[in-house]
Amino acid sequence: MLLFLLILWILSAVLVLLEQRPYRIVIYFGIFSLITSVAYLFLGSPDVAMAEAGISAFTTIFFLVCMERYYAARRKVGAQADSETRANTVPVRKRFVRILPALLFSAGLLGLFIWFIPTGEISTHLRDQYLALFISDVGGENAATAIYLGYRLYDTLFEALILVIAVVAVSHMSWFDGTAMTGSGRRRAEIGHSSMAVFTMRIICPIILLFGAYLFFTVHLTAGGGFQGGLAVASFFICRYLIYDIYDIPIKKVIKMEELVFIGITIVAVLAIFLGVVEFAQIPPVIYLNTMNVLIGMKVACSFFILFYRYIAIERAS
Amino acid sequence: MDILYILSYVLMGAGVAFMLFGVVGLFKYNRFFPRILVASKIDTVGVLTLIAGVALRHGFSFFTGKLLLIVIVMLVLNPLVAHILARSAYLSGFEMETSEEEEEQD
Amino acid sequence: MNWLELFPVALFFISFFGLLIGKTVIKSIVYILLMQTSVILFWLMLGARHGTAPPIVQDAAYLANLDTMADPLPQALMLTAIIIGVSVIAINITMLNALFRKYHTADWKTLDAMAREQEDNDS
Repeated sequence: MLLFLLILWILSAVLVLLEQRPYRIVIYFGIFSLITSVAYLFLGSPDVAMAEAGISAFTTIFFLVCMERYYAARRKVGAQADSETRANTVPVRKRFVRILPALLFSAGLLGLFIWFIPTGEISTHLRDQYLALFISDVGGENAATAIYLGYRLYDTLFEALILVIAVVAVSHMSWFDGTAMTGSGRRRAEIGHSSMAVFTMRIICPIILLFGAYLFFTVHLTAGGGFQGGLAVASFFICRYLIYDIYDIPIKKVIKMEELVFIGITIVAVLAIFLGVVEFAQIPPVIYLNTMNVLIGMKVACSFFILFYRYIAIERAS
Repeated sequence: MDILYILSYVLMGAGVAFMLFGVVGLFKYNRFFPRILVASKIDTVGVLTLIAGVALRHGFSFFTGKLLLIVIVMLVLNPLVAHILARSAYLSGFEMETSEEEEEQD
Repeated sequence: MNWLELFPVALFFISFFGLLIGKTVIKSIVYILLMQTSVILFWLMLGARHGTAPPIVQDAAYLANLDTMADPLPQALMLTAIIIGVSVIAINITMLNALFRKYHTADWKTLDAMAREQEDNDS
């Protein structure tokens, strides 16, 4: 089964690699991400599979917006000087000679990698120790959550910091004028006119929010967690934008809130793990896990809401 | 018990068959609107029959309740997705009878 | 070494090759995403060598067969890697949008020519 999935996986990747038309690259990339997510699930890591599924949905949307800009720009210039037209004029043999050094270089690197890869057994000492001790050390029933919230909390803090930096960088690098932030007189979203879509999404939206909350609060029991729940909550806000077609949430306040939540994550982490307050005050570890996950989820929801707002609402409207 | 097992396998096979018909249809038609019609059949009929088979196979428990939730969400959302795709394609000027060169342009 | 692990390794170097010969900025970004995905899959396959059960211990019965569980450490690390990859992609797409606005193209050679032209004009 895994072999079949991997063959499908590599085929879809080759589809992505060989395609020249940008819209189709994005669609094939969506297929590739779906197969990757199922492969992660078969490898026994439901957390990573859920994260990959959510991420691929968002990445595909971002790329689609990007493609829209690309075609708009090309229509403005008239696509004469592009590689797609130029490639047809170069003969095949000349093209092959041109890519030969790159082919040899990467094939050589692949050979080196396979030659030098260690062939012996991997030590399972660390895995056995984590699996045997995580219930008494950190708590909860999910070992992956226990590791990224207990043993390797530095990694999670670093990752949260990187996400904050990325969001701030995105919101400062892309174009915006003052009017786009407050939002007035923008174009309407496409589904806004369809009463059937609006009615259905009104019913579905609370279910999405409930699902996000479920992912937050059952992190100690099953797969899921702050990151995946944050994606679900962000998609709730996106659905809200799609239904009512309003831009009433001020972005600057959301950025400020994200920074505050990041400070909260740092404070909770320092108090709980590095100063040992959880053990000292006999707080049940479930409370610590749920607090951290709600904070991380809020931060991720804020980040993805800002990114979506940035790309869809403002970049398209301007 | 055996009858239920056989019935579940029949349902699962029917779901896979519906999906197969859908995929064949995707390659058969080369216009946008027939393709949307066929693709929405994969989403709704195929997946629903497959999930019904899985529920029968597993017996009635808490797991079946989760499957029921998935069925409800799919039943509501998948036709909606097809509707929005077709509607926005129609609104953005995608004619019903497009020539093949226009389709190839992305 | 399990030979199935050659799939992600091969994809990593294929997309590295694509990154070397890629013609447009969009394809370069997609290649970076493919490389990242193959690295994550490679780590998870390393972790799943001894068993592919999810590392969730729900009751005492699960404790008996800890040996069939996947390694939880790569999973936690790869969650971090996925989020960092998304941050990188978000910044990349923003820069790509800026590029479209300024130069109206995504072709590497055209962009190089335009940048050289601009440098000549500045000096």
